[in-house]
Amino acid sequence: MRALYRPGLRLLESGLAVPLLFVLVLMTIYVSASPNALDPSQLKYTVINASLTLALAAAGLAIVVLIGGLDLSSAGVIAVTNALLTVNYGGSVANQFLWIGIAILVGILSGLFNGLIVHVFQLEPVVVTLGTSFILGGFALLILPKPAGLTPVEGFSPIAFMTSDIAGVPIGLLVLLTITAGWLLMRRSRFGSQLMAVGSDKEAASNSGVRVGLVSIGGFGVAGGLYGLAGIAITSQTSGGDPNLGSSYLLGAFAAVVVGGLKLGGGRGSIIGAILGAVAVTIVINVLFVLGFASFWSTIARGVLLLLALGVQSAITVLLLRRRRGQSITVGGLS
Amino acid sequence: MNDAIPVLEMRGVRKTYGITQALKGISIQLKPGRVYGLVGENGAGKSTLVKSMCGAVKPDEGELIVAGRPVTINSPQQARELGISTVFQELSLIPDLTLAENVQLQRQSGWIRGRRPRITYATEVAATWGLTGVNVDTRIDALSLRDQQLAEILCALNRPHRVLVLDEPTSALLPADVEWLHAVVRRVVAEGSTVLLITHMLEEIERFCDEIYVQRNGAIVDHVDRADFDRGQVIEQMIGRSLESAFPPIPPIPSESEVLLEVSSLSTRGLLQDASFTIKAGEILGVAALDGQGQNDLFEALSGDLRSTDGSVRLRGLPMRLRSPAEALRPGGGRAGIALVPAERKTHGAILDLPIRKNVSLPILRRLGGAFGLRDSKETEAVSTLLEAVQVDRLKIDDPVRSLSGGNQQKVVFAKALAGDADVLLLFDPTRGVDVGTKYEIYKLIAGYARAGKGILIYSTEIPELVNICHRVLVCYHGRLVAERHGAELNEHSLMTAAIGVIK
Repeated sequence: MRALYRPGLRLLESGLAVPLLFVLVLMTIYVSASPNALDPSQLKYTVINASLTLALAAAGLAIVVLIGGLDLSSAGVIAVTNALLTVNYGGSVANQFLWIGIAILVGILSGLFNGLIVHVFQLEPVVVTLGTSFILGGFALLILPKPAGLTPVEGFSPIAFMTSDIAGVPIGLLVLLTITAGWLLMRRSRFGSQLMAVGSDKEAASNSGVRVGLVSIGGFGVAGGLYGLAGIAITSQTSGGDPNLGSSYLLGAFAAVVVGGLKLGGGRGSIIGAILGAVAVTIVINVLFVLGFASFWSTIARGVLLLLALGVQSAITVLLLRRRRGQSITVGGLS
Repeated sequence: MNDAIPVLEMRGVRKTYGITQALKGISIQLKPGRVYGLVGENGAGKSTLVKSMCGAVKPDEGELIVAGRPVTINSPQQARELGISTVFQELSLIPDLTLAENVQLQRQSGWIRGRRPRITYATEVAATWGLTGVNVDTRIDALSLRDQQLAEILCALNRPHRVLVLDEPTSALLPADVEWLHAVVRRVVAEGSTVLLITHMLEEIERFCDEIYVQRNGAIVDHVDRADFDRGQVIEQMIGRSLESAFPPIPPIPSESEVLLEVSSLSTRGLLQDASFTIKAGEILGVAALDGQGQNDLFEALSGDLRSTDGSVRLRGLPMRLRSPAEALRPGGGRAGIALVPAERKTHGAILDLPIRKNVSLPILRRLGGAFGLRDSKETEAVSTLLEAVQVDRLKIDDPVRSLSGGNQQKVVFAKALAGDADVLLLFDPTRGVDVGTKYEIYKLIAGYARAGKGILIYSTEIPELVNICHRVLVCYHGRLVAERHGAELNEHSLMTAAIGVIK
C-alpha cells in the first residue's frame, strides 16, 4: 500500500487519472455492448482514426494551455492545410511528401507568428489567435472555395497511409504514440521544465532566469506544428477538403483538454492527458450509438462528460491533494 | 580588506515610477568577504534597490559596476551570469514543479535528465548546505511557507554567487532556521563572496552584518560599521522627522461612549492568530505593522472577505456572521455593519470605468429602488449628499472614476464605504499614493466620522500618520497583536520598536 502511495499521488497530481478513468470506463461499456469492438479493424475505424484529428488538435492546444494561454488558431490551421493539400496533393511520392512537409511548416510558422505577436505586443493569446484563425480560414476559402475530393493517387500515398495500418496496427496509433514519446522526452528536457514554469508563474519563471518570451514562442510553434498534423489527418480521413471543417474541431479540442486534466491558466497537466481526453470525447459518441441513443444525444453527452471530468478533477484536488502542509525540512549544522 | 575592489558598486542610481521617486541617486559599495545590511521603513525603496541590482527593474539613471567593470543588467538571467544571486522577497520558485525540478531550473549550467537522478542531485545539494529530511519530490505549492523559503535560499546558494542578495529571507523562518542561515552566511563570506541582507529585524542586522546602510525615502541616509551601530539612532534615521502640523486635532472620545466592536481571539488560516480588541464609538484605533505581519488577514476577516477559523466578532453586543462582504455590510435586522476601504483602490475599491454615481450607489442599490427599478432622482440625491461629505465636486457625478486624481478617487471610495451607513469603518492604508493636500482632507474625514460616533480601525504603512491621528494603536507582529500603545507611550519610536519585534 505504501509502495503504491507515491506513484498514485503522482498520477493524481499529473491530472492523468481522470482521462484514464474515463477512457477505461467508456471502453468497458463500449466493448460490453458491442463485443467485436476490440477487433483491430473496428478499433482502427471507430476509435483511433475517429479521434486522430481531434487528438492532434488537442495536443497542440494543450501546449499553449500549459504555458498559460488559449489558442483558437487550430481551426484556421486545420482549414488552410486541408485546403492546401486538397488542391496540390498528387503526382510523385516526392511531391506528396513535399506538400505534407509544407502543411506542417505552415502550421509551425503560423504558431511562431502567434507567439511572436503575443510576446512582442504583450497581447492576450486568445485574441491574437482568433485573428490569425480568421485570416487562415479566409486563405482556406481562397485556396479551396468549395469542398472537393483528393485527386486519386496511383500506388503508395502517404496521406492515405496515415489512416491505414501495418499488420493490423493502425498508423494513427503509432503517430499518437510518437507524440506521446516526444512529449515525455520534452518534459525531461530543460525546455519542458521551462514550459511548465512559464505557465505556472510567469514572473517567478523570469526571476528564475527563464527566457519567458522565447519559451512561449517555441511553445506556440510546436502547437502550430501539431495543428498542421491534424490538418493532414483530417485530409487523410475524409480523402478530401472542406474549407469550413476546421472550426468543428476547435471546441472539441477545448473539451478534450479539460477532460484531459489540464488546468486552463497553465502549469498543470500533460499532452498525454489531452490525447486521452480527445479519445474519451470521441468514443462517448460510439458508446451512445451502441447503447441505442439517437445521435442528438451526443452533444448532451459531451457536455455531461466535460462537467463530470471537471467535478472529479476538483474533487481529487480538494480531497486528496490539498493535504496539510507540514514542515518537513530539518536544518542542521554545516560541515 | 577595505582596500579591495568592490565586487558590486552602484553610483547615483535613480528610478522613478510615475511621480514617485523610488530611488533618488543611490550609491553603495559592496566589498568581497563582507556582510552588508540594508534597513529602512516600508516604502523606503529597499526592494526597488534590490531589484535594480538583480535585473528585475531597470534603473532610469546611474551606473552599476561589477568587479570594476561598468555593466548594464537587463534581465535576472544576466544578473545571474554576473554572479548576483538573489532570494526575492516574493518567492520565485515555480509552484507547479517539484523542488527537485526547481533546483534544476535554477542552476546556472548543466541539465540532469530524468526524475530519479534529479532527486538524488537535489537531495545532495540540500545536504551540502545542511538541510536534511527534505522530500525534494514534493511540488512547491504543497510545501509550507517556511519550507518554500528554505528551498528558495537553497536554490540561490546552488547558483554561482559573487554577491548573495537576501531580501527579507527570515520572514517565514523559525528561530532555529535563522541560526542555520547565520552559519550559511558565514560560510558564503568565508568563501570570499559578499552578502547583502535586507531585513526589518534589527537584531538580525546586529548578528549578521559587518556594515549597515540605512535607506529612507529612496535615499541612503547613513552608512555605519557594525562597531558604531546604535539601534536607537538607526531607528531614528529610518523614520526621519515628522511634520506635526500636517494632522488635524483628534476628537476626544466621549466618556459615556459604549463599546461598538468587540473582537475576541480572531484567527485565520493564514497568519492571524488570536486577535482580541475592542473599539468604542468615536474611537480611532490604529494598527501598526511591517509588511505581511497578518494585518491583511485581520482586515479581510473583519470585512467578510476571508473566513476566520476561530474567534468571534460582536457589533453593538450582537454576534456577527462574517462569511461575505455582503454580510459584513448588512448584518441583517436593520443593523448597520462594517465597511472596508481596501488597499488597492484601483482593483478592489472602485470600478474605474463606471461613473462616480454608479460606484457610490452600488452598495445601496436596494435602498434606491422604486416600483420600476432604480429611481434616478433618489440616486442623484443620495450620491450628491455623500460627495458633499467627502468634498468631491458634485457636478462630476457622471464622470468616470478614472478621470479623477488619485486623491479624489480615494475620496470616492470613502463615499462608497460611507453609503451603507456602516458603524465601523476599516481603512487599509487609506493615504497610499495620495498627495499631501488630500491626505489632510482624508484625516479630517476620519476625524469627522469619529465625531459622528463611528468606530474606525485604520492600518497605515506610515507610522507618523498613526501616531498623529489615532487614539490608540495596536502593533501586529508575526500574526499576533503584540503591543498596544496610547497616550504618552504612543510615539514613532515605541511603535517602530514593537513592529520590528523588539518589545521593551
